Amino acid sequence: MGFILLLTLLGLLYIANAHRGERKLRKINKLRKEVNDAKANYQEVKSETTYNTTESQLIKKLEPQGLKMNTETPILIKPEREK
Amino acid sequence: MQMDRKNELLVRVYIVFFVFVLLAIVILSKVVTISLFEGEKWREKGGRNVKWVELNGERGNIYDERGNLLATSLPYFDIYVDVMTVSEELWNSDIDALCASLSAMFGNASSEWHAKLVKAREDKDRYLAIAKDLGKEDMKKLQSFPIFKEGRYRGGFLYEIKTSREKPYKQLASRTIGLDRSNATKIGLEKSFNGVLSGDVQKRLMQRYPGDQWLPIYDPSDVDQKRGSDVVTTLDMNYQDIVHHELLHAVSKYNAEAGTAILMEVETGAIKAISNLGKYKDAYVEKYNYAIGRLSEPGSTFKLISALAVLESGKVNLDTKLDIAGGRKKFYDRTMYDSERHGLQVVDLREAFEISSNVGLANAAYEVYGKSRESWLKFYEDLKSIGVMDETGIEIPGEPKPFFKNPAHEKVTASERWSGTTVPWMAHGYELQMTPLQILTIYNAVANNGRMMKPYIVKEIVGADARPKTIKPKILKSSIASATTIAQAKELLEGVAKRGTARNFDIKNTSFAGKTGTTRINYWLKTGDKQYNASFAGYFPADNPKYSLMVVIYNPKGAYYGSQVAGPVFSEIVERVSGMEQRVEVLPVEPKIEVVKAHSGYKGDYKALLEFIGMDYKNHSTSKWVDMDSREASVVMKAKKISTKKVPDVRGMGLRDAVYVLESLGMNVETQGMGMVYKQSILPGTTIRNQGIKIYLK
Repeated sequence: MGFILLLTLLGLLYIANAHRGERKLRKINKLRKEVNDAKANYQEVKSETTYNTTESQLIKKLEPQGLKMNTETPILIKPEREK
Repeated sequence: MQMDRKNELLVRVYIVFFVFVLLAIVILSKVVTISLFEGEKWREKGGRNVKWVELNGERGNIYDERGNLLATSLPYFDIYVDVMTVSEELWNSDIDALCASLSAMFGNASSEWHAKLVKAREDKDRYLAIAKDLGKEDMKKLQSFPIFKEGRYRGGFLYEIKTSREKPYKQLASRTIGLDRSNATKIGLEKSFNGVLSGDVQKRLMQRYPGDQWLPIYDPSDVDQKRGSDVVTTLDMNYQDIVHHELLHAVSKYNAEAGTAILMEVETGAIKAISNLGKYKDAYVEKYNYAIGRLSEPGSTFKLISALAVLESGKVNLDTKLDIAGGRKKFYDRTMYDSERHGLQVVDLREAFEISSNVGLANAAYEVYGKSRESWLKFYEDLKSIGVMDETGIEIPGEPKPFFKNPAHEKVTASERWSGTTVPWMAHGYELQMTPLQILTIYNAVANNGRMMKPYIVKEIVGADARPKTIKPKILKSSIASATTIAQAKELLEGVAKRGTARNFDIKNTSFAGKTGTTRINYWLKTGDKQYNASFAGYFPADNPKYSLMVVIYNPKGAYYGSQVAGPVFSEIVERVSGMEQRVEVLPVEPKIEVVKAHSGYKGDYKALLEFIGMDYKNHSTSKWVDMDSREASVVMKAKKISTKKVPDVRGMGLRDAVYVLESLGMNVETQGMGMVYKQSILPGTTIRNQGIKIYLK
């Protein structure tokens, strides 16, 4: 009798476990989709900003505001090292 | 009695046995009916829950040197609507709002959308296309519209996902980055690195789970396919942007057929920028990789190579006098002209190169190589050993082999046959064909003191789970000519910039060296417009070359000299690129300002303060005035001696303490400034005589 009860218990556990596993998989699938969505979103926005921030695009966009390219070379100032 | 019991038992056993047999027959017959008679139906039903799916691993990205994205895969959506799914009630209440939203997004009039949707409902169209190729953002917006936001089953909102290759920088270097397309051959890096970029493709048996989800049957956890590797290029999009737009400016200005510009790093052969603009309708776009794929007669830029050959022979040097006969000379039956009238009769090789005299270089080559068949062969061999006859081996597909005539081949077509005029004509860049990149590789080698680097564009392959594979610069030839020859060649190129055809280039901040090219492209025609290719090849800075650069403008209209058409592109790029490299200016540092390090004052105040902030200190003092010393690990209080006969040292004290100490000694105090005392008018240790003292604070 005890043996049958044990078997029933094990069977229940087995079924519950299988269900839990399936639920997890479904959640993983859903989250993966969300991650992919977010990634695609990020890349779309990023690719737009990269293009809009190229030098030539900035020059074009800032021209109406009267801003121009600085033709001077940037200077890196380096202090003489102390002896 | 015994018998009866035995029989009874037997009967019972038979009954049980019979029941089991009956059960077995029933089960068996059901098995047979299901598998044989109803099999078709059930198998078909089962099939709907299981299917083979081809899973594609995501394609890798392409990056520039700084990690900017050059090409990536993005999902795109085609949107459809099943107007029949929408309930009458929802339709009537929200259709106007939906049409208004669609009109706001796509521009067509609201009434137009209304008519379209109503018609679809009348026609019972369950798959009406709304929009194609929408990005993720637009898709989200669409999903929030009235009716559509109800989803697939109530709102009839349907979509199909496609993946397409997106280049964030659009036209910049687009031909070189390439195209990944399924309906035509791939090009550029997308082609040559396709094997690396593609993800794994795998067929998997998938099972349907409740909620319309498909998961692989055998190992449901392993649905991620192996992603393709990323390719990191040597391109620098900051430079690419400059090169592209300067080239675009020139080809548009001169209404050219096409143009190309390549910027290469001298030391490594890494390509930093590569632009190819061809005319397409009324605009210039990246439509063909001229830099790598187009063979043409280089013209005067080839003079560097003929100069290398004649100098290397040792029979000519920079001061050798050449008869250029006013820029017009007959070799056998053909007359050669210099492209600019100059009227000079005799010049040395240096000057001939600087003014780009065709006759001058032709004469030099003719003297060394032109007079016999053996010397023709020598010319061929010498050019070959410079390395001009081989492909560069760049990773982009489609590079042709340079075209050179071979004096040893006699049974060939007229256009390949070597003749008496071949040496002088080759000397100024005709009767041979090279690509712009192949020419630049030689200029780069000269700039690199004779070491010829293989041009390359991919520097790293980063796999998902393997260590990144770095591609190192490769030497094609450790020396294309002797050190003396290279030095002389550099002198020639610098001369062009200082005194020659490129003397008018206005470049600030840096020096350069190079050679102009003005090449007739339809010289075989006796009539009609003369057509030219204008080019410039060179490197900068002249004394310590960092980059080499080649510009070719194909068939410009209105002007055609290399110095006039390609030159400005060259000089603008040089100026802007070198402007990006920072100048370093060293500033002398001012001597350190001496500050009063010691704090002095009333011991009780310091004690209270240090205890309040909880700082450790050592008390070495027994007097009530102290000097604080913080040079050691913890703060130390040292006794300050205040004598009644001598002026004390009040430096480092606050105003209140200093005044108190001095006045209690009977001195008259005058103050200036605020803060801490840094100077006092009477030196410490001086005997006090009823006098005033001034203290300075800051």
